[in-house]
Amino acid sequence: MRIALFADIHANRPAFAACLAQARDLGAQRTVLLGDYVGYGADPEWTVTTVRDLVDQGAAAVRGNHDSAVGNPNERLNHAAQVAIEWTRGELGRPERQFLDALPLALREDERLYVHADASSPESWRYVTDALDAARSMDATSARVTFCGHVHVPMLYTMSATGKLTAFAPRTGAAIPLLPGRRWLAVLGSVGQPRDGNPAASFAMLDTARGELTYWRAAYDVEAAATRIRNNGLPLWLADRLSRGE
Amino acid sequence: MPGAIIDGFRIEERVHQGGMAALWSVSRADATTPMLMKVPKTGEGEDPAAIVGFEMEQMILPRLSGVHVAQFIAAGDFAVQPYIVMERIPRKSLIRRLPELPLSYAEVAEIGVKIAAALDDLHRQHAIHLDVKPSNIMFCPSGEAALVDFGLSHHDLLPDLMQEEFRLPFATAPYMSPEQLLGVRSDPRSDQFALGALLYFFSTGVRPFGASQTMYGMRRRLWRDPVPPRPTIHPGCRRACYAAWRPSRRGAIRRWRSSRST
Repeated sequence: MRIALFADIHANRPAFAACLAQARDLGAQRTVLLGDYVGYGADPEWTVTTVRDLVDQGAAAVRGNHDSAVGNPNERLNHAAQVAIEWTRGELGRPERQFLDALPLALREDERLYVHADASSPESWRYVTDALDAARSMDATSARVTFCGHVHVPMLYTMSATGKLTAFAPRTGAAIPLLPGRRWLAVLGSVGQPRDGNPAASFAMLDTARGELTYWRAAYDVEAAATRIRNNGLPLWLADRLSRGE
Repeated sequence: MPGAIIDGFRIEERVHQGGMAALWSVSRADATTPMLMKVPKTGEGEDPAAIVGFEMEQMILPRLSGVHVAQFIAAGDFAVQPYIVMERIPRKSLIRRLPELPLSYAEVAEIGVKIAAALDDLHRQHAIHLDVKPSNIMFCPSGEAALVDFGLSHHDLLPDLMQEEFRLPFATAPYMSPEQLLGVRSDPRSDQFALGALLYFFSTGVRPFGASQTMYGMRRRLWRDPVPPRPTIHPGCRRACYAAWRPSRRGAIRRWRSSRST
């Protein structure tokens, strides 16, 4: 089965639409959504509605810290993110807010764990940015493969039977075999706000039959997304960073 | 083990027993191609490098194609029985020529050109062999060189499991490049260095950097040039050796960038 995985969509409609279309072209048969559907971007209602429709059709979805912040004012966010979330609350209806609140923090499916951030304490929203973080997250689960987001930079970690960690920055379109004798943690790049210097939207495809993971990028109309942010009075920096991929 | 059947492959005879793996000839009812099965040593007390190297080869070999590598056919994982099945090409190992050293310039040049073509093809496929030595070079009936054993190799598009697993450099001491000694595994010119050392050896009968296995002995190549090949050696061969393994203190960047240049 081919599973399309998306993280950190951040209410970026053109980016998410481009990724969904590319995943469809790549033969996606199942969808997994790794949280942070809202925040930063200017299309939260469309994004949450789309995510909810996908879940109704069988997609797996977990909650991210921005999704959590919609219903929980105590979630700590940086200033620009806080401004965006306060605006987002006004854009979402009650059903959309309830949908986000009801999402689980983590989901287990066969040998895979889906979670937004570090799996050792999902509600703490800790980043996985190096091998030590990855080891802590992997040690906290029996799942052989963990998928998370939150960092906005694609990365792949693997742990050998002796506990040694290898970090790898994946190349677009190159299939990586997730060898069965190892444990893996895949940090997905961001659909709606990439921060690795490449403005193209980021997602991944898992082929369970071949045991291979491939990271992909989808070009989209960055200026359209930035214009929507500016026109809705959100911090200009949130618009400007999209074209720089930072 | 002969007669056993693993995932449809019938084990026939053992054709090689190495330090890290054994090679068996195998057959399958629906296949006419001669095949080899590589089975790593995985018992208790075995070198962990055998497992990690096997994992690297499992990842890299299916991604390689062309006449300079054996074609990948199938693999089994560690959950049941780890193995790799690849095509078996009738070919001769370069190691068989060691008793004949030194060889003539013409013959060394011909061997060098063929190995360089194989390395160039490998590098164009994003892979670096990192263990170029006579026992890992075969010559096919067509005359072309083929590379075997990708257990220590690096692939630009795949995680480098050897890099983090082992702090000490892993390669064959007489052919190991200075940057490999320093832990760098991502420079294709490391293979050029090994090729230069091999050409020197085949031209003179002497290994340019000795055969020391100690870190001290191996690190000498970081700051000391080898003894120049005998004056009687053909100047063309001398130039090829030097250009291929030019030492790192003058910068690895001076080494030829492509095996085709060699």
